[in-house]
Amino acid sequence: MAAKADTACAVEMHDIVMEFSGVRALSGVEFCLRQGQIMGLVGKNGAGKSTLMKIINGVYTQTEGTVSFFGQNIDKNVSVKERERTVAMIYQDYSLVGEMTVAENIFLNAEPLQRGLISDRTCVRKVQEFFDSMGIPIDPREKVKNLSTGDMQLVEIAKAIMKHTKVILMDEPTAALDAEATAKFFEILSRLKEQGYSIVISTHHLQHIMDICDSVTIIRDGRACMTGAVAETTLEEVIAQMLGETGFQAVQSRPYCSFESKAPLLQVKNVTSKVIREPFSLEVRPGEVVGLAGLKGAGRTEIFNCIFGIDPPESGEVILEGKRLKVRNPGDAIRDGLFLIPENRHTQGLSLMHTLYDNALLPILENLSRGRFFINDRQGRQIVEDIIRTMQVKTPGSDVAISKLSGGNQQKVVVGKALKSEPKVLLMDDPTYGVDIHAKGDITAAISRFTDEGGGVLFVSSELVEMIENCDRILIVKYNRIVGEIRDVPKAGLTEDSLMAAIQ
Amino acid sequence: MKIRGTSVRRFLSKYMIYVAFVVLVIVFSVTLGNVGNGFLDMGNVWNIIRQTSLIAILAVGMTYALGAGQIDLSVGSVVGLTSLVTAWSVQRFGLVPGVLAGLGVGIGVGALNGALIAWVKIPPFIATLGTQILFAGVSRTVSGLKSVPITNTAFNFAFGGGDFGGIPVLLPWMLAVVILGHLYMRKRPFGRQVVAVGGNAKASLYSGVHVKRTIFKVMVLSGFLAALAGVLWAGRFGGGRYSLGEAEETSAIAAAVLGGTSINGGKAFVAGACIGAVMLGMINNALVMYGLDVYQQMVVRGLIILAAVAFTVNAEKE
Repeated sequence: MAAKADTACAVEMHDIVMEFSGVRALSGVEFCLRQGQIMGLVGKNGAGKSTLMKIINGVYTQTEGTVSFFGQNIDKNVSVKERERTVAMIYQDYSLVGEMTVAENIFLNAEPLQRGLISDRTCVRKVQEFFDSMGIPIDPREKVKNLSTGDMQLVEIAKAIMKHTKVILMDEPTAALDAEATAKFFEILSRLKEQGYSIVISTHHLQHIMDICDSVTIIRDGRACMTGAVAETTLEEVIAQMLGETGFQAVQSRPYCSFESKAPLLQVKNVTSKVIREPFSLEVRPGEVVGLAGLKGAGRTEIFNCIFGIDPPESGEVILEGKRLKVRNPGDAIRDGLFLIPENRHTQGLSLMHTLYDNALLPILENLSRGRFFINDRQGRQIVEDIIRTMQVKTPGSDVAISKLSGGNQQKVVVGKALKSEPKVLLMDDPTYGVDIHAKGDITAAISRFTDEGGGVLFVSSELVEMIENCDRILIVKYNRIVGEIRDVPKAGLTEDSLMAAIQ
Repeated sequence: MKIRGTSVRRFLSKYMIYVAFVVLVIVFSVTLGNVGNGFLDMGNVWNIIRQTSLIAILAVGMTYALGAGQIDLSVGSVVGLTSLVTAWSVQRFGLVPGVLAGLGVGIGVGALNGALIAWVKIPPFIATLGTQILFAGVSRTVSGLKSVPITNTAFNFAFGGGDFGGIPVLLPWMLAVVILGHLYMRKRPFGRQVVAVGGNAKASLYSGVHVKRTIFKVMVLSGFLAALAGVLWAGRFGGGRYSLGEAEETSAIAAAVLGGTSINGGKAFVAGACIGAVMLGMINNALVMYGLDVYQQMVVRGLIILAAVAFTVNAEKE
């Protein structure tokens, strides 16, 4: 380890400042990725990890500071394409063509020619040689669409390396992988490292960093607050550095309330779905907010999708107010008294080309025409105005295209429309993501009103502080399983760092 | 000044169809004033209605299909097939069973289209292109390329051929379909679910809309309306023939898009589709009056459709 620390920097950054229209995202970052090492890049959402990586690969141009690759200063104007010869970023959304083979993808737009024609044999041979040397068990002739997520990622890496990349940057490479696939993926990364490649992985899976990385760099509030060898630190210290002082501060939580005596509102017993193979169970009592805490990809969304009928339960039972439900699709779930506020409001929550009015009423159109032929638009207007008022939606009116509203106001409409379908249990998948502080407050207030009236909530947030603030009880989710429970959150004196440690 | 400029442009893009309609009426009535009794002669107007009402009925179905983000290329063939089925059944079993048989076939073929798209997951363009050829082949095979005359005069009068003092019986048929179609789209949950699915199928699913069922129903509706057009075509023609309605899916799509329906789904305007159909009919009629032969008409019609759709698609982006 000590010997390795002396090797030269593959990527070095000095005094990096990055401003976006006057707002500082990074200030004075020092960074050194040593040759032949794997570095873990750690930080909370918005700390500046992605910005830092995008400065390295040239997507962003730093406001101040210098970047050098292998001791050579890289001018600000060197494009992403030119940098790719040394540094490649592997994106989460794969830039692969599913219908083409692995070899075709790897040589896309750089095909070796023989007398003007593409030599498929050469492509396949070169890829096979590389895979053999790395112990990657993928057939170069296989179509990419038939590969697993982990294998697609390896193809992306192979594609970069075939372009002679020496440094690989990866953003959350293990988010979509299960335990087994992660282990395999790390094996390949170790082999790449032995071959002299330098790798950065940015991730929230801190345990993965402890397992595989040589060094760790922690970004907090736009600064590299810690850089060091993994061997000389602990998971606790990494968490502490990542969160800073606030991580240990007491969090203002909901008032304590005991739910022991109340009969369960929602019971999920030994349920499996297409995605969740191992049966899971959970309960929500009237007025209770139950959190599902886990890293992205841990199975929070999968559990919601199962209960809500996107991937309907294949075995086990879901019981609401003592009545066994038969949910085959979201329409059933909504009729029965469940509503999911989905993770992505742009693709799942709203139809952006339509008006606030049309979006808000979509789930309850049938109710609005009950007992009559035409939709009762007068009642519809009242409902929409009620949503705008109670959720404090800032909008010029109910007939504006929803795309014209700010993210926070859009999300308030999503929450409002969910409540108007009068659910008994509300499933909220990261409802405050990318939403300003005022909208957050309005959404939290809506949750309180809903539970005060006896509703139950299943709650997910990518901000752990919000989990502690909003939940009465927290379930820990890992690899599509519920692996732990924190009872009486308001009394438990939970802090961000302890919850962070619990979900690793 | 700039604000005014954009508002004028927005007004134009929103009401373009009406403006174009009026402009065309003026241009045609002035330039064709000396041809026969003139463009605006009532005889000519009813003639245009006779020619366009069937396209308008197809265009209403197409508006639903396009609004839901689908397309139905089979409607032209469905017209031919149902005209034959209706003709046979009217001759053999009488008026009511004949009409029901024709409409039943339409519902059946619509269900086939819908099932292929929603459950077999064939893209709508390919699915209905396939059934278009399939139905065209069936019509030709079973009829041996022969027409099937209908001798039931009551049928021929009521379903397309008749008129009341010059007013063609097709006019009330068209108006009924357009008005019902328009109200259904605007005022019934189904209509709003259709455009929601076309706008964002995933968000509709998360809002509890049965997306596949909606797509299925839309295709059934389109098949049903194509069959109704087929029945009326048979009545107007006095018999069934495989070639009736052939290639008219293009006219239906053009009429719907001219009327303000988005080719990409999420925006559907039934009344506009009717106006679009009448406009296309007017253009056809005028071209004949200008003395163009059939092939020259095709050239001009093709150019007009391309220009009109290009304009609407671009206006949509603003």
